[in-house]
Amino acid sequence: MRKERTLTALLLAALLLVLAACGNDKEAEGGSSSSADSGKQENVELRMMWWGSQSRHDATLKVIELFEQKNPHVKINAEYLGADGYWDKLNTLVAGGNAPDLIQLGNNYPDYVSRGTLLDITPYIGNQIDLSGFDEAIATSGKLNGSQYGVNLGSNALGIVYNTELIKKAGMEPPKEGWTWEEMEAYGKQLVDKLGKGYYAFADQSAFTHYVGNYVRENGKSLFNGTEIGFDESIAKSWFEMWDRFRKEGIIPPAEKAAAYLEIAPDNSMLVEGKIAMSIIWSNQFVAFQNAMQDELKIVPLPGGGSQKGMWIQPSQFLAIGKDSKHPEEAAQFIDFFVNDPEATAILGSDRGIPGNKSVREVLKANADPVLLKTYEYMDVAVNYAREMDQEMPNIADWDAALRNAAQKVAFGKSTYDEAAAETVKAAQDAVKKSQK
Amino acid sequence: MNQAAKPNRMRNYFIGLWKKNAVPYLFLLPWFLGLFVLTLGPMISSLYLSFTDYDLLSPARWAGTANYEKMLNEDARYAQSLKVTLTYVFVSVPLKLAFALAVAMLLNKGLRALHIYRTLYYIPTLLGGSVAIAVMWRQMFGADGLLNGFLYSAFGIEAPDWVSNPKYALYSIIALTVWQFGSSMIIFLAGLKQIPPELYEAAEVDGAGKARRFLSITFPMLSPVMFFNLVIQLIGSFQAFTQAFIISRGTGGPIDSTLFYTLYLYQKGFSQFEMGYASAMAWVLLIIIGFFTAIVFGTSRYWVHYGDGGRS
Repeated sequence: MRKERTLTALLLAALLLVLAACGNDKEAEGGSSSSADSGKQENVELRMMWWGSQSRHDATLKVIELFEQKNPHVKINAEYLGADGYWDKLNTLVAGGNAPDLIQLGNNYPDYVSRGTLLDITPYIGNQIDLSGFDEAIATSGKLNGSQYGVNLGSNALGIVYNTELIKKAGMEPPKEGWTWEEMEAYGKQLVDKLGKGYYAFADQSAFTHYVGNYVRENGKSLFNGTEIGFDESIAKSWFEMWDRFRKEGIIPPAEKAAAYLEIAPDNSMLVEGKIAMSIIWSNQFVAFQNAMQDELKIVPLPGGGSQKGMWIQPSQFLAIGKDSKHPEEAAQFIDFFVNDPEATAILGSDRGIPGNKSVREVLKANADPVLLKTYEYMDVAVNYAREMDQEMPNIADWDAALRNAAQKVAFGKSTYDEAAAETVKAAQDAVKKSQK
Repeated sequence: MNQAAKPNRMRNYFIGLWKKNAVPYLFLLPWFLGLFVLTLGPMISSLYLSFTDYDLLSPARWAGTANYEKMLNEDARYAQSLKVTLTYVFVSVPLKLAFALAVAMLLNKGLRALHIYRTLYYIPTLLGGSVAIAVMWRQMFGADGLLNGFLYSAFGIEAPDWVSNPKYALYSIIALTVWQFGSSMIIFLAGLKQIPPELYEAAEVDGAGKARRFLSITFPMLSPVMFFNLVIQLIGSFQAFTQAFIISRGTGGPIDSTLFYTLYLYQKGFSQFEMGYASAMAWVLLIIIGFFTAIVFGTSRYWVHYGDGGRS
């Protein structure tokens, strides 16, 4: 009996401890923020979240360490992962009221602005965050409705990469900048003839959202014009028609093969396997693709030939501050460090695209290895084929899935061009409508 | 006087109960906490969310039965996901059980190194839905995979890419599931070992053939184990997620041919921000699973045979 009572008491005590621990969390947080008013250099903890590859993780962690050395009262906890699960995790954290202080976002940042996740950082611009070294267009690229929500971490553009060895093997001239689609198609046919069975001129990228974007822009339209979708079924139909013709001509791989390769990263790419001569990638992926293969790659602008320039230079990523951040000033300070500090930017390199700060850019370009240098040189070329970017379509992930489905249905002969076009347009309208509810 | 005594007696009863059982209850406490905090709480909130419009980032808005209506009337991808899942369940569960039983019966023949075989056959189950397996599956069943290489060199057949062709993609995942028959096999094997050998001896003396012995002895004696395996596999298959997620890289493609119910649910909730809709889907899935499980339980008295007449 006595033993039992001791045991009960012990268990109760253990339970109390657990409950106390649960309750303590909040108190601790509240305590630190109240002391912010009195103390000068009280300890600050920030959380930062980004996606990327291992090399990006290593570089970013190093920069965080450097910042902590220079600002001993700030500690930054890093949460980083691959691009796959990033949005799921971020959304879950935000939903749980647990958003990080520093958040890396893409051009989908307006989705987070409309859901009230991001802090308006306009007051920090010119104070903690110095963007005077940035080109005007790049400095304001995180602006929406007159407020700044993020700072550009780098610029990139789409480009066609080609395998110089395969083209040499076919005995052909390398592709030229300023091509029309017709010229590209003719070139592809010739290339496939010379290379023989098992080789293809282009990857099947009929489901690549931004490639569609380039195509509709060339024809004076847009995926999204800021309020509604800016393209119609007829242009979507001509897109699917064109790719199906490529497929029948054998210049892109058959449907089954194309379904097995996403061509969005080097680890799942027929370009890297040396079976495809050309593919569309983002310029900041160039180094990763080149490092994954032996044959030398080069990069040229996308085909054009429409009434307008189709390409655009876009921010690859932004660094933003969570709305409920308790230490926005320190977070802003870190952003400034991240994009302007000579040491930090040297560590980060060009992995997130070409940096916005002009002097940083010059230093990096001067020190670039031959592979990276190609990216820099390409960006100088791409500017000539680019015009101002459109705002990204809201909920683009929804549309991306629908576009892939429609494109695959065409590829496998499961739907007509008209059906696929109607499905694509409807999905885009739904995605936009969802953001306006 | 009587009425005053009643609550008192009640009180005494509960105090007595507490004195007697306090320690067990305290030991159960962590489990109760888990049940209420981690299971029941989320369940109730998901039931509530299923009647709302909730995008994860802004507060949920009441939407009545809109999610359920959209699901049943409008959403073609939902219908597709249901079709894929039902096909998967009704093909993979019987195949897997048959396969597991066949291998268990082979192993039950008194092999010398039984434990080695048992372990070997169990390994695929342990590997489960790992990334390595999905990659291997692609290597084996892809266009230039092992299987097609064999078919081409042995018979000159140019076979399709089993993983990326919408006609066969689901069946390549079914094959993967069936291949992971280990846990059912272990249970069957244990069940087979429980059947008294005298029954077979007696039947043999009476001149019963192999088929007869299987139908009249093995099957009835094994039916409780079969019942257990069937229920477990049925529920598990409805909830299948990992294989499709990894093999199709989260897309459910090509052309939604491997869009499992749970995969679509996941897409809706986490990549399309429609958590209310996803919650509604989860509750419908619960009802579907409940329905099929009830059928299995309902019919069990016709085919499940308990040695003691079902009293235990």
